[in-house]
Amino acid sequence: MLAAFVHDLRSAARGMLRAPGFALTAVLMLAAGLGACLYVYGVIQSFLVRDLPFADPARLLHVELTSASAADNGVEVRLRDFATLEREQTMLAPIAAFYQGTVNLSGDAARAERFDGAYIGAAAFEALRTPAALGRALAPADEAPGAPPVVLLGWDLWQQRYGGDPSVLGRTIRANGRAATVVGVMPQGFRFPLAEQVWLPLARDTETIARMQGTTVEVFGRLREGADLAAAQAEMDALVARLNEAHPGDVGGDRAVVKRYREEFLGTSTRQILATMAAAVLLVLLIACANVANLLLVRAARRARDTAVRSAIGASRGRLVAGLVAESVLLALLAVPIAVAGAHWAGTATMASMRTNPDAPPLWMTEWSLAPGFIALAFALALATGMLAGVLPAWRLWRSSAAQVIREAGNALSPRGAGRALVVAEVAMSLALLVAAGLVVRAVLDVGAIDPGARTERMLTARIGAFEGAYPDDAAVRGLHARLQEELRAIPGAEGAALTTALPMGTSAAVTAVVAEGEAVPDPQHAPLAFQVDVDGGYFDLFAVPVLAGRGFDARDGADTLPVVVVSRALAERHWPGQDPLGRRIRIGRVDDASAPLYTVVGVVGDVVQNASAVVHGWGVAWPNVYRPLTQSPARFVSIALATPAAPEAFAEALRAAVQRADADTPVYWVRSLRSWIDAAATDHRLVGTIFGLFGAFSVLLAATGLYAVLAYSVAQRTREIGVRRALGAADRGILRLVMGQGLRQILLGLGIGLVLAVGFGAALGGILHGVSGADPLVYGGALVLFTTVALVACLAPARRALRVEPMQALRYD
Amino acid sequence: MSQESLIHLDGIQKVFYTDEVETHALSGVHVDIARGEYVSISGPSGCGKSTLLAILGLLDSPTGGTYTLNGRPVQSIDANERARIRNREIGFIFQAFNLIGDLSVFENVELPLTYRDGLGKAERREMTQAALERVGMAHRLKHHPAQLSGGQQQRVAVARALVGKPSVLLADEPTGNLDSKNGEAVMGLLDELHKAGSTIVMVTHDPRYADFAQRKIFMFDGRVVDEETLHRLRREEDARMRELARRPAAASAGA
Ligand SMILES: Nc1ncnc2c1ncn2[C@@H]1O[C@H](COP(=O)(O)OP(=O)(O)O)[C@@H](O)[C@H]1O
Ligand SMILES: [Mg+2]
Repeated sequence: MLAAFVHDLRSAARGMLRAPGFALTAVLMLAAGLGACLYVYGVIQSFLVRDLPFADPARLLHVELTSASAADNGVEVRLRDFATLEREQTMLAPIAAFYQGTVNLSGDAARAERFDGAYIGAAAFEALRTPAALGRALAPADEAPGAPPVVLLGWDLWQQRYGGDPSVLGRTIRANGRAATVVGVMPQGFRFPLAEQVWLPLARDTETIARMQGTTVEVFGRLREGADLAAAQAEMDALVARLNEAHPGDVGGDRAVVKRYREEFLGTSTRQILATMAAAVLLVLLIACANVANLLLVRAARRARDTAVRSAIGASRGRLVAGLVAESVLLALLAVPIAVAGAHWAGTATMASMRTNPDAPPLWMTEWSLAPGFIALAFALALATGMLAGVLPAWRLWRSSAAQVIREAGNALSPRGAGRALVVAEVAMSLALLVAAGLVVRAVLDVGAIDPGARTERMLTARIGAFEGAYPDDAAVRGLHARLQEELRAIPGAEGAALTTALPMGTSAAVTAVVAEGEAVPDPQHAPLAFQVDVDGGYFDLFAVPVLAGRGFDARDGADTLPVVVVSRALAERHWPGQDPLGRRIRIGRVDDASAPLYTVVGVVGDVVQNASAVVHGWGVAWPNVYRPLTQSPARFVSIALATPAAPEAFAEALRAAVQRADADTPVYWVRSLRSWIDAAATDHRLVGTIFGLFGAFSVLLAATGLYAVLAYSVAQRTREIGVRRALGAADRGILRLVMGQGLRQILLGLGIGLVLAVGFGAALGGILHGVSGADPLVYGGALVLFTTVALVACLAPARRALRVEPMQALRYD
Repeated sequence: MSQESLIHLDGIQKVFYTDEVETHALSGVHVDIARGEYVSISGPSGCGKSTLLAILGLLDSPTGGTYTLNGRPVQSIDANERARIRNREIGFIFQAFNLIGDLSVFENVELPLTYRDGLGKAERREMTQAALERVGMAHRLKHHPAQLSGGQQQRVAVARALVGKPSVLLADEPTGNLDSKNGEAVMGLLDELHKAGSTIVMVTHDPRYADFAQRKIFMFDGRVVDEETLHRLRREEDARMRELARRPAAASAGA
């Protein structure tokens, strides 16, 4: 039995070697379809299925706030309120809090460097059940007032900066300008919450809490034994209600959102994007399978007479069917490894590209891996495709007598077009994918086509942070800024430099409420918003933002002079329509606070798109801008912008050196061109666009191949029929109508069905990706034209072959 | 060339070039066929019968000589014009019937008319019906070829050949795929058509069927020969074959 099957396998292999073109096409198609599927399902597994890489991750819960009026249902908890929650809740054991920040390490032999880190409660490590690999993790005692400052390092950081030297334990280094003792190194692979790898204690003394009034934290914890999510949710809701009674309007939300921690990392749009991609890739697989089935059918038909002869000389039907099965097993055996390798390659590349995104998902999510279950599934699918395709001819074989098959194979002038339905399906599915691809690509292009209102090309950017340890007050920060400006301006070949809290089309601009003096003070929840950016005197010039009225900032705007602002045209029009804004005064931020300072408008400038991801995600595009002079609000974190004559990256070293000269202990990070930031903001769109584009191109190719194969096969099979028609006097026109007519009917039917599918995809995508209109006539029209062209080209070769059939063929009897 | 001559072949040559091998399928064939004649062509396999019929039917063109059909030289006209002439002047009956499996009996017979311009649907219907009645197949209009016996299929094929009222019916071994009973029935049908005025040229290797014709043409090795010459050449060839068959045996015996 097994021996017989091995024999079948071997003869199937021989058969494939005899027709290597067929074998290669079938294997590659199957591999491509399966590979695309494995790839998408691998990504889905990473994002949707895989849990956090900590012990018993299902019990890790995340807590945040929401309110009916809040647009965003992920409001963080105020540090002050966390203290209350921590004291009174009973469901999470333990409960922990943290906030992310960058940590500047210096004060040791190595050069000052900045790392992504977090200020984190000691309970977090207990909740995650992850002890240190070396030394200890953070302990509750580290949070006590007056406790000696400590720092906890991640494994990679330890390897890279300290060469894995264990004697780093107990050493005193500077973290954000403050001396701190290294107490431990976390194990390899531990990053928390995203890719952070250095942790400082979350200061918990009441004094700090009072000073950090606005600071919010992320809260999570481990569900206590015997408790469930609903109970935790109920308790948190009750506590949040009490908080709102104690601090009306100052809690951030009136309800708690308690959910499994994993879900915190999943935007609803991610989920939808993945679902859409899963549907799309399934279509691709179906198309590929249809094509392979088609090829197998064609082959089976071509060999119908062989098969009949075999059966005539005594092969049992079982043996004949086993032969077909052997062929599909072989196909699967060849296709699956290629598919797995391809998916692995694409998956690794995608994950790597995702990590470069400024709001990258946590590191553990972007570890590419393919569950063995998927590979088994792929194998099963490949087998099923082969079998399904094999079963049809096998079924026909089963029902008919050998003599009948011989007669039909010899005599039939027109075979059943078993592949025609498959072609209709392929056309439909590929048109749908093509339209989807077009919609996303269109949206990506739209993001790229936005006029930012500021110079974004040939601009090198970087960021620095001045910490309290080294720069205790505003004067010190101002001094640093002044030194930086001086050094930056001295960079040879550069076209100028500016300092700003946020870059145009960047990610750092603060969103703030703005109210003009004399306007009714609105409910803070509904105050008019603006992007607030603090800039130096060189900003407007450097970014080519036109000063439309009044002036930009200059030496007149000192620390102790009149607080001034420059506003964008849209802001001026919003608050003083048709009036002169110069000399008017506004409140920024706490607009309901009568003691908050009033700023005098000294200039009006052009509008700048201050946040590229705002554009991508569809909010705040039209928000106006308000600028303050850095001299009057010396921000600790500022971006450096250096205008360059050519490739900005070439100035990276010069910029680093300039910062180093201004302060050797201040690390410079995020050194990259402004363009790369803008591009990164559209990563989601581009990724989805690329994937859909590939799917679309691939499926069109498949559909064209399928169409070609079916028509070419039909022409080959109908050679005699065409000859007979020729003999009866058919002119070229008649033959063309015969061949193309068949192709066109399939294409038209497929296009009709495809349009319906496409509308569905378009609607789904329109709901996910901002700027994608589900009903873009240009895209639909373009896809139709493109597809029809490709399809006609696919029909061309078979049609030409049909035209070349000689009427003499009618006299052939073989 | 007589005025009544429907088909006039003068020095027709046909050379096939395949893989550097030249096959002289026809070497100087002269044939005259008058309107209303019933001619059979016979000869051994490979002597060029089908090639000649293909040239007669404008399925193929000669490499030399002239072919005059209905007073018009047709040996070198373009493919579409040839198709047009085939459609109007010539009716084919094939050994393998060559009915189109996807089409019904009616549609198969109607097919040549659909390739002709200027025929209305009603007219086509009438002609098709009439042709099917002449072959006695008018009761099977909606059937598909696969549902018919071989003899019935060939009768439908005959109907298809004569539906367009061609000048000449060309038949290549029309009984080749039929048993003798059905074969005779088809021969009877051709005989009837001839009596009603059709010009028929039929290729057959079967002397019984050749006898149905009014005039017999014999071919050998690409040439038209008379009956006696054919028998002599055949005897000579048979002798050569026997000689060939003996020789290897003798060679191996001597080894
Ligand atoms: N298309 C072709 N290409 C090459 N040789 C051909 C072709 N058709 C026929 N022949 C050769 O021409 C000769 C005559 O063939 P054919 O007319 O079919 O003979 P018949 O019908 O008398 O048996 C044969 O030697 C045959 O092999
Ligand atoms: Mg022949």
